[in-house]
Amino acid sequence: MEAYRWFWGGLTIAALLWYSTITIYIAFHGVFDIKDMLKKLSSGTFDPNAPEK
Amino acid sequence: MNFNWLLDGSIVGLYLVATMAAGIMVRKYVGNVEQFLVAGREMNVFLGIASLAATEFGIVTCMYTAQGGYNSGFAGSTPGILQCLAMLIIGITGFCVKPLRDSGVMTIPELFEQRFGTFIRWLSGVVIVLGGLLNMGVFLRIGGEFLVLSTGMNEKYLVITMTVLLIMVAVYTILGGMLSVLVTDFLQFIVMSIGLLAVTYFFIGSFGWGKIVDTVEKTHGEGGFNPFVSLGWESVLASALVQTAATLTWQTTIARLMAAKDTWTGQKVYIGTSFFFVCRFLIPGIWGIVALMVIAPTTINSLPQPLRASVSISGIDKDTSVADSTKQALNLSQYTPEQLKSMTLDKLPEEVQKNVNVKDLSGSVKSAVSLNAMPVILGKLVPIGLIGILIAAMLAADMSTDSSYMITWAAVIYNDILGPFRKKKSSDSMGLLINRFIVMVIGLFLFFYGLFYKLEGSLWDYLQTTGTVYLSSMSVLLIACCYWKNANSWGATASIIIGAAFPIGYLYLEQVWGAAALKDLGFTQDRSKILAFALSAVAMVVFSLLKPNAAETATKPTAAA
Repeated sequence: MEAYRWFWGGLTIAALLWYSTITIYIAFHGVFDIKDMLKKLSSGTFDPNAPEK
Repeated sequence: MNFNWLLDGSIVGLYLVATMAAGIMVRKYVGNVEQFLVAGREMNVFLGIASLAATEFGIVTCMYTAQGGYNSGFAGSTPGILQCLAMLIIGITGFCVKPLRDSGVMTIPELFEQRFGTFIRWLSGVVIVLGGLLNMGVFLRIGGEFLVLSTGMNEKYLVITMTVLLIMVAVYTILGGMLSVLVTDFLQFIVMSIGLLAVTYFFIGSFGWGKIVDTVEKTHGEGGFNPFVSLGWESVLASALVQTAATLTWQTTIARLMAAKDTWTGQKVYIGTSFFFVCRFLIPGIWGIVALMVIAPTTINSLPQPLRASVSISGIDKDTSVADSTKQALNLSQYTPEQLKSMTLDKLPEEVQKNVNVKDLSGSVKSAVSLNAMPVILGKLVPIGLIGILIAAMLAADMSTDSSYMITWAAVIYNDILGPFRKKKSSDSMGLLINRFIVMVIGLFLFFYGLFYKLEGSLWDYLQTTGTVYLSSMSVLLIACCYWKNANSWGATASIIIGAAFPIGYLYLEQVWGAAALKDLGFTQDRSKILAFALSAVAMVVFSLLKPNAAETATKPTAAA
């Protein structure tokens, strides 16, 4: 039973640490992704018939 | 209940205003159908991860994963680990998703048309929409029930809550399509994550990790940690199949792959989001364990009043799994069938509540208790201020899920079910109008289905079974389409029909006979899922080889090539 407790305890710590970190990271970088996406859409660079990138 | 309408209500209100504003503001960037359905394929990695994570976590997710924690302890989080592995492996290898994204299509059925013909595209669209809409049909009601239970709102406001939620989501989805969905998803991911993390840290800090683990050990023993003991190998296998198939073909997941700016970006979104699926099950699972710690069900009157008021005993008189002695103790003969339909646990006489044990009641009653326990304890334990953040987080989770489901299933209806009937390409304005109309119709369906469908058994089982309606056949078709040169339209047709027959048949029989009667016959949800996957694959192989011109088909290149 001790092994199970360690496994789930370790997984919970990993999940909380990873999730806390990724939230901050994405909050920062996601803003730039949105700006970039809207810029491309508004500048008309989007062409639905263009070949795949 | 701790929810303070002034402080917590203001936090929720602020979030709602910000979301609506963001969602509506980007509508001006939408000028054609491709921008409406796949955001012009301009989505980058971080936005993709935020959007996929926010979409894949709704109130409904929180409820069933917490139910898993309540019923099975940590073992209830097993599907999350399975999906994490599936997502990571598929993201790294590009298995199926690379040829799918490389083909430049907007939906999976569009890819199937290139290989199996127009009819298969149409049929695939039908089962995808059927499975998807049945699946999301319960979202709105579960979301409304969560809000009622966690805020202490009067139950009579449930329908109003559902309506307001739906209208808000529908407004920005109809106006801005996938673009609004992506932008609001980002905001919703941040709010949702703050709420989820804050409440989890609060629970662990308040109760202590040791006590949480002890509760699991005391209540479930080894089964609380080892899924093969508590859930059984059939359940684990069914979960593994469903999670892998969902990663490959679930419409909301695939929509992010299609919206990604290139194939590798789509794969990176998969890799980056994979571990989120462990969090998605484990974090609410811990909330469910805390609910079990606080509300250990013994007799009916041991349950808190809001929980008793939320659990209906309708149908218990006909349930064969409930012992006659329990039915006698409940004294059901004194009620008319009409009274029984609206009867909840709290309306039973006090003497009955004191003497009848929850574990002796029907499966649907026990399921409702385990499902609703978590929102009830959130409302009681989470302090003022934090509960406002939590409710905003849950609204964020729910709105991002609903909006994304509406837009992605609208894409399949427009593209694959109606598409083959369009003689010529619609103009951009007509295409947008049709898509917006479809989103509105899906919203109406959600509303009415949520009002009238009665959930039997566990929520997670329902979602997996409805999802299997198309997950089984679509995953088989996708793999065959990309990697098996002998696959053809006969095999595809047989695979789709057989893949849908088992889960739909199970859901129908469950409503007619009840889950307990089906279990007595050896027909369980897990078996219906495993059979759907296995026979769908067998049908693809057998019927493809039976088709007279199979050899000729084999010479055609695959869509991937």
